[in-house]
Amino acid sequence: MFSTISTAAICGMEAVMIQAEVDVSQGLPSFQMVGYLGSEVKEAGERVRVALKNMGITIPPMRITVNLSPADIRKGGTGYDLPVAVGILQALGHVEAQQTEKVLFVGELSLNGEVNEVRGVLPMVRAARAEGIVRCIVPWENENEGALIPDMEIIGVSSLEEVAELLKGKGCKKRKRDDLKGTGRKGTDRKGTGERNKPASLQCDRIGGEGQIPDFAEVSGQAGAKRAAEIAAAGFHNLLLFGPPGSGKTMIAKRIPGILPELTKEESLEVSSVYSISGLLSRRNPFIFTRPFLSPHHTITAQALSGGGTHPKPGVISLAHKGVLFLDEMPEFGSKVLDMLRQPLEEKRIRIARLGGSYEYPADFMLVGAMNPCPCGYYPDMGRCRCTQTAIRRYQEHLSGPILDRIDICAEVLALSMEELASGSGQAGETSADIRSRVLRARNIQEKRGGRFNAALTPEEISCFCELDREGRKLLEKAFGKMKLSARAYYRILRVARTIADLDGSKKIGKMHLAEAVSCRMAGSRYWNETGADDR
Amino acid sequence: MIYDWESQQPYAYWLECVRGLGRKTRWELVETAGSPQAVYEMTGEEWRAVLPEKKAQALERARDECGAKGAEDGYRQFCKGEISYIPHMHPDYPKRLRKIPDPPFGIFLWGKLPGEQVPAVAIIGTRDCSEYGRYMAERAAEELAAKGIGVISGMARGIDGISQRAALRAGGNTYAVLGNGVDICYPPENRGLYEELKRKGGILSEYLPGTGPKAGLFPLRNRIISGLSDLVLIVEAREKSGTLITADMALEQGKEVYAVPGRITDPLSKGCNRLIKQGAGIALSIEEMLEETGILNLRMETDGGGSTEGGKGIESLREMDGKKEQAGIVRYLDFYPKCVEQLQKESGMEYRQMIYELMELCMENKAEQVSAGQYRRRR
Repeated sequence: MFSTISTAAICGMEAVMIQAEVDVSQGLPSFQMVGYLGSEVKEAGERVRVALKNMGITIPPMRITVNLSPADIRKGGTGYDLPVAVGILQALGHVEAQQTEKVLFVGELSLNGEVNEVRGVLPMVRAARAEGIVRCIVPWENENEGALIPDMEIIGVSSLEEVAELLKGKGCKKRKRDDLKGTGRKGTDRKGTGERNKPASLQCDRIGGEGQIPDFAEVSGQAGAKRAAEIAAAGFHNLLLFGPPGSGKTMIAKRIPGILPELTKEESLEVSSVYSISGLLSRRNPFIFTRPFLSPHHTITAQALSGGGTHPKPGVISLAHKGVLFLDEMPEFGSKVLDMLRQPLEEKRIRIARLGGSYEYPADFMLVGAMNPCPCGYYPDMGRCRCTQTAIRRYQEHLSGPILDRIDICAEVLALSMEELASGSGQAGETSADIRSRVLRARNIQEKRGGRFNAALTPEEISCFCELDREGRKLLEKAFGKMKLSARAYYRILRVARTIADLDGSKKIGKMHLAEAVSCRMAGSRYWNETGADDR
Repeated sequence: MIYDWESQQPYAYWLECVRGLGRKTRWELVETAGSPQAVYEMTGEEWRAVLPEKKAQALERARDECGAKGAEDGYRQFCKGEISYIPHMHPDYPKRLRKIPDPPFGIFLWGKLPGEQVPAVAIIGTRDCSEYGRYMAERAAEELAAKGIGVISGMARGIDGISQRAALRAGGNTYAVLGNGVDICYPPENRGLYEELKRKGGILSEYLPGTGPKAGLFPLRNRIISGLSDLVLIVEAREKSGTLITADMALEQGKEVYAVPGRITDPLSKGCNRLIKQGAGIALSIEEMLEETGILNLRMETDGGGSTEGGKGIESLREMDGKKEQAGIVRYLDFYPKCVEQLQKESGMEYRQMIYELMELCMENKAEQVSAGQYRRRR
């Protein structure tokens, strides 16, 4: 007897439909699985056999052959347990063929027949809809995640028994999601929490949960750095904060997600897909609706940052898609790791080629870096800094020119004096909500103009949108002559000036906007002096 | 020694070109023979009488190379280039150098020579200077240049290059004495300064063009740096450093030595502080330093009004004082970097208006953005 069950595999960011074919026939008793399987898939047979046995179904001593087709795609992950089990049930006649028609199955089985959560349900369901599937049977934990795709019936199940009941006789009874919440939660109370313990390295600093973002009101002083953060957020510009240790660079960076505009629906789906593939969504947080904020430690490897592995998984930069990638103590990351960011920063995605194939992950993030200006951290405060010029240069050279080239805004976080701290604590600064309302206004203007953030404007768009008024043009000409700007710096200044004008609600870029943009350019700092080595 | 210098020049150049002869031998030869031409015309036996065999052979070889055309031809070839040669008997040979022990036999020059009547100060210091040293060197050079005083240094990394650059920016005269040929830029990162010095100042060396940088040659050039100046200002020096050699030479030559004091714990200021302990002047301010030594009057008087640059410099200094009453952010700027926070608090201006004014000032070269959030006044 032969049966075919639909399931799906993840290839990079996309899901591919897979058919699990099961044949039960006469012959020497055996259980064979074929179809270019990864070792975790090969183990599926054992899990399925025991799960079926513990469910009370005896597998007759027959020759069982399972093929996952197409057989040229490498199969990884544990989601094939459920489809294979259902295929065997059907091949043995426990389930009728019509019940599994146009139904997608995915789920991992444990030996007692429970269905455990799997990765990548979101893209799988999306692919299934495109293939004409009408119903998806997914693990209970992944139900809400799959439910994000409209026009699709998602049924969350917690045990193989439940699946068998669902498919037996009465047909797939459509059950309301509310009913499901209380059903089938027998056995371990691990599931009661609705969240599985995830490896700490993969855990996002913040998924969902609006209240956790700290507020800008807590930052006293630092008008310059706050303003820079506001401009960066409004135009999605990359930002570099530097200042002495303990001045509040990290504090400011952590507050940036709170002033970024919300994810749009499409963006949200994209981000959620990445998290789904990484297995970071849960029943409680099935959907990423706030911008991610990731701050990897500087010991991170280039592979962990970019994504990789024999069977590639999204890296930290992809998890920061549409959000903030915060690199604290940036020079400590090592030039190799940082230079890896060059291509993603330019192309907003990363391509990873490995043995198993080449995959593309989105990586459109806002880079926020923080660094000390010198090894001791106090430069240019000559009263405290004891570093030699050479030491400072060597420290700053950890950030290569190409990386600096991609950072639009450079802001200094200053060490506050005692009195400033004391006076600052009394008066509340601007709240994140205030700043955010301005950012949103600027974002709306950008949306009307073409949808892109200003940071992503192409030179053609710049010449089209970045119209300078007379005084602005004069100032730019002067700056160009005086500061020996490169063409790239010219565009960068215009992009930032555009954002500043948008924050102002101004159609044209005026001299004030331009002056501010010039003041926060990279080369404005002594660190990367315009005159370069000749001045050292 | 008074010769008909024009006819002697080619022979002095020839003597300079002889490989294997030292500076001392050259002086000895000219003293025994009477003039460079006389040296050229000596016979091999006469050379051997005063010199060891090896050196005599070197001289013979050099004379043979000249062939029938004589020494004049070689010199004419050399004169076609941009480098000039000023032998000791040349009337333009700096008078200050004549007075030092062990003066150079001749000087190769690209650009111009320091004016005889213009006071000159050597600013020297360590190669890996701190930000403090950098700032002090810049300030000193700017102030000296504004007063029309020549700045002499070695175009090395660190203090040397910084002070010379600052002097050029301030529109002053500055001269570099190199430890290699004047046609070679060393260190290479000072290429920009080197080119500018060729046009606006002077590059001097006692070594033949084409001589590469060799460690042994650098301490020797220091005696020319101090020899050309009336005062030696040491900005930053480690306890054991080449800069201190220059200080010793300056004292030997009877020049004033001033040192910029620093924290006693700072290794880069140890040399300076040590010098002060040994009796060097303390350079608390340039004004004071010049007054104490009186070098400004010394030469300006004989010069009758000083150089044109000097006059202009003082004027611009006064101009700056006048601007103190000027409205706007410039009033609140200082030579020490101030952060925007502080400026905003002091001026009470709106943040963006202030940034705009600061940027305007930066473009007009009146202010400098030291780092993203800090500004300082410039001149």
